[in-house]
Amino acid sequence: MKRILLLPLFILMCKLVVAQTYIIGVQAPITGSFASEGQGINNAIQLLVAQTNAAGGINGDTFKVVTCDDQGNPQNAVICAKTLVDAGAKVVIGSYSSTATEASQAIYAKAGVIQTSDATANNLIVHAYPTYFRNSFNDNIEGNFTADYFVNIKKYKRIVILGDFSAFSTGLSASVINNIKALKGNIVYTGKITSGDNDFRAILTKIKALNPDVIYYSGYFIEGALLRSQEVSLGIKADFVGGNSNDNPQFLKIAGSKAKGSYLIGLPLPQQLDSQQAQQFVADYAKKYNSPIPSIWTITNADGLLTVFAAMKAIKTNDPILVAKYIHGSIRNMPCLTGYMTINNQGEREGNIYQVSQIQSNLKYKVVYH
Amino acid sequence: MLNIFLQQLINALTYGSLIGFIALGYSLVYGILKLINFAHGHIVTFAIFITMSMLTQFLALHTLGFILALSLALIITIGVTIVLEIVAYRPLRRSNRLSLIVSALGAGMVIENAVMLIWGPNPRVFPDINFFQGTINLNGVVVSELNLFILFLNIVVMSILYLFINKSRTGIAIKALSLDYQTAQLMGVNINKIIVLVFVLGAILGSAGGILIGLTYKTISFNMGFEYGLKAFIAAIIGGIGSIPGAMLGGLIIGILQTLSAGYISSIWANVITYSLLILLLIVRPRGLLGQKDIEKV
Amino acid sequence: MTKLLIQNLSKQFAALVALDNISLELETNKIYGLIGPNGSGKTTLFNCISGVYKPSSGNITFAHHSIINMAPEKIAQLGIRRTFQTIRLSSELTVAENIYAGYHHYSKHNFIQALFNLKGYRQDEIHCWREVHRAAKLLDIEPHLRLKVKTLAYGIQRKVEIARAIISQPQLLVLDEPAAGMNESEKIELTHIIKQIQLQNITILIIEHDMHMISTLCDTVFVLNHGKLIASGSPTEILNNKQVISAYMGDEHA
Repeated sequence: MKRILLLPLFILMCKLVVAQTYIIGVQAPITGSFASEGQGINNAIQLLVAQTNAAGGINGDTFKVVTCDDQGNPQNAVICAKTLVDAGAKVVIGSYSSTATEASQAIYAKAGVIQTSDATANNLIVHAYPTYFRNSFNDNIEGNFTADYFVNIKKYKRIVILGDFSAFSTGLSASVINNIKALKGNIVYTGKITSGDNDFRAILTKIKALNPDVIYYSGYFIEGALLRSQEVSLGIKADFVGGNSNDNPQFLKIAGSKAKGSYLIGLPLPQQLDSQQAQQFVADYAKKYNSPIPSIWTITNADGLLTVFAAMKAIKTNDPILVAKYIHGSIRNMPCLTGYMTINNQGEREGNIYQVSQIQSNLKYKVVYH
Repeated sequence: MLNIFLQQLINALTYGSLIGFIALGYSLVYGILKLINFAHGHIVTFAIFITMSMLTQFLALHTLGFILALSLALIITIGVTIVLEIVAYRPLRRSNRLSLIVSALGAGMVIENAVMLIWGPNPRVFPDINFFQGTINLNGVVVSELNLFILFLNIVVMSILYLFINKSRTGIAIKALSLDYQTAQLMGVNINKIIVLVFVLGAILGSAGGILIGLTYKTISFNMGFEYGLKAFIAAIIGGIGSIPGAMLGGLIIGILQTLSAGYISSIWANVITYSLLILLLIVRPRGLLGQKDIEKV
Repeated sequence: MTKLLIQNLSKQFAALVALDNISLELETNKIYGLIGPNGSGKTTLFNCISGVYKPSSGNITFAHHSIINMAPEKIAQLGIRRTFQTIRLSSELTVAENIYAGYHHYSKHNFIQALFNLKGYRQDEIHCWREVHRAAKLLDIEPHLRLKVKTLAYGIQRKVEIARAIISQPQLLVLDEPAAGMNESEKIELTHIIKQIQLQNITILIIEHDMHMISTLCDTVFVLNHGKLIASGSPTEILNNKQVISAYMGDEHA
């Protein structure tokens, strides 16, 4: 009986404690296939919050990070969203994948929690949630850039487009295909693979018969690396170009020496960012966690939080509704780690910092076009 | 066109034999013990991870290191299998089959989680070895040395297993055991020894398949046992569970159906086509291709 | 010479006393009968001898070894073999393979020898097939050796089971209703075969309901009723024993 009586009191106490610090939620795949990405995002947010608290916080508040592991899947994303809202989060960074982000969007919007994500699928802004904004660029910008590179720069004549069944990959493929068609490029084959599968030799052999000069893959790095290494094993001479989610050190580990010569279209790698602010962040991260930043997505998410902080400072309040309102339309050309941040009224990040890198024989990336 | 077809066939055979190796483990254990060992796929995962660790330990740069790493990994896997049999299966041997299946499922979860706790939840990359790296190009048809080795090993393992079951004195005991435990015991067969041996054989075959999967596809994760285990289980059923050549045949059929439907019909529909055909096949032949009626007491 | 010695053997299943303080002695190279009404504990006694059941109390000594705590396979390896009330053969295997299974413990070759068809394996194989043929000849089932068990008549399957039990040259053969389901001519043949087996220096203990067969074959007969040994003696003595008659008649006519 006593215990039951104590319970409401305990909850009340928790609420009181929570009210004193401003909660920043991180919803990211801490485990599962995208674990390295999720851990990177969590680390970066922890680092930024520690730095901000050390500088005295903002508008009298200090910040505290609560992390929830969504494993990159929509079911857990919903659970995480509810958990973080219940924990009193006012701002949530995440998630990494479009699928997980999409599943959690409505819950945060309803609770009036600011959400920012690196996810790129076009459909993330169709509902125009007033609290959501994107810290990377949408598929259409990447699709446009990719199509232009294929048709006008490399002058590929026989293009193959592959993707997986995820919301992100489907969206990116569609956008690349539409943009190539608009430029009158010749797509000889469009196909999908199942993520989690390991053996893609059947579809690659079929593609080999079509004699393509480029194979583009819009999915994630594990399957990307397997596609590349099996392509080389089968003696297919076509170039391999991976979309932005092939940017991960695992790509090089899995494909090994067969990664040589393949291309990656995406945002700059962390070490390629030239601003002093960015270099400082990369160094701080390496110092604190004793490992390099896993990918650019870690940094765009850090930019998302920096944007929130900048808005708080600008309007001198931490109220999430007001901050979100300010971000949508008033953040323009704000210097950030990945260049400049501009958010339009729909919550879309504007601009374009895409580039093409090629993996060299020493297995290092070299920027060949931007 | 012929080249492409031959290439697809080679793709199918190599993929199919990997599945077949794991399927052999299911079939062998079922054939003798009438137990579907649902922990098998996870034992395979364990074998892959322990091999990865051992290979990293011994750097795997030389053949000797490779053999040493492989032997140690195999010994540890065998140890785990024996403990599993003694702890999870032996006490339930005389209880009904359902509790045995539940025990197998539970054991599988324990192993899967143990792998996750030991090696972490992130996907890992299987180390490179410095042989079987070349490819052979026959008029446009590309076969990697590893593929050739897999096919070769497939034939050797099948033949040895066949001879072992049909010719050796332990094989006779295994056959006697498939009758029923008690009768076998009363004919002087030490059933504990034989049952452990059957589990260990299954684990060795599964481990061989697992290590070849690691070498072929590089990327491994703690939960891969589920998917491979499921495919191998289907292969064992298709081939006729309990039949040794059947398990391999089942693996090859899955490989061929999946490859040809992805290669000639649609990659998107490959799984749907493959498994629909397999369901059809089971409707026509419920006992699988080489399956016999359950051995019954007269 | 005493082959098997049972002293004060009891077996209890929960409240049911299946065997109650049984003591008996089997001598080398004789045929013994074990009779009694259904449920009198005959098969339980067989199961205690072959190690399927652990007795609740008492002792069983076989060739100077106490066997009550031995695993069934150890007892079998020591030289006690048995058949079963219902046939337990592998119907998908051939007659020869079924018989061979009983010889498992005595083959000496290892797997490497078998794999490469080495001398040890070939010798063992020759020896083993000689044994299979010897057992089959004794049971008069040689023509069926290559056939699958499931294709054979019931009477022949019964004989296959006996062949499997004697291939290992046991010292004690325990037969559980070997003539059950056989017709008259088959029973006469079986009686002859059991005599032949005895000539191989094998002690035989047999459960049988056919009193004619028992009295033709057995040197000594034991009678069980409600788990108790109520009589033992020569067949003629037993057939005239009032207690025995009432045990049987009482069950059927009272």
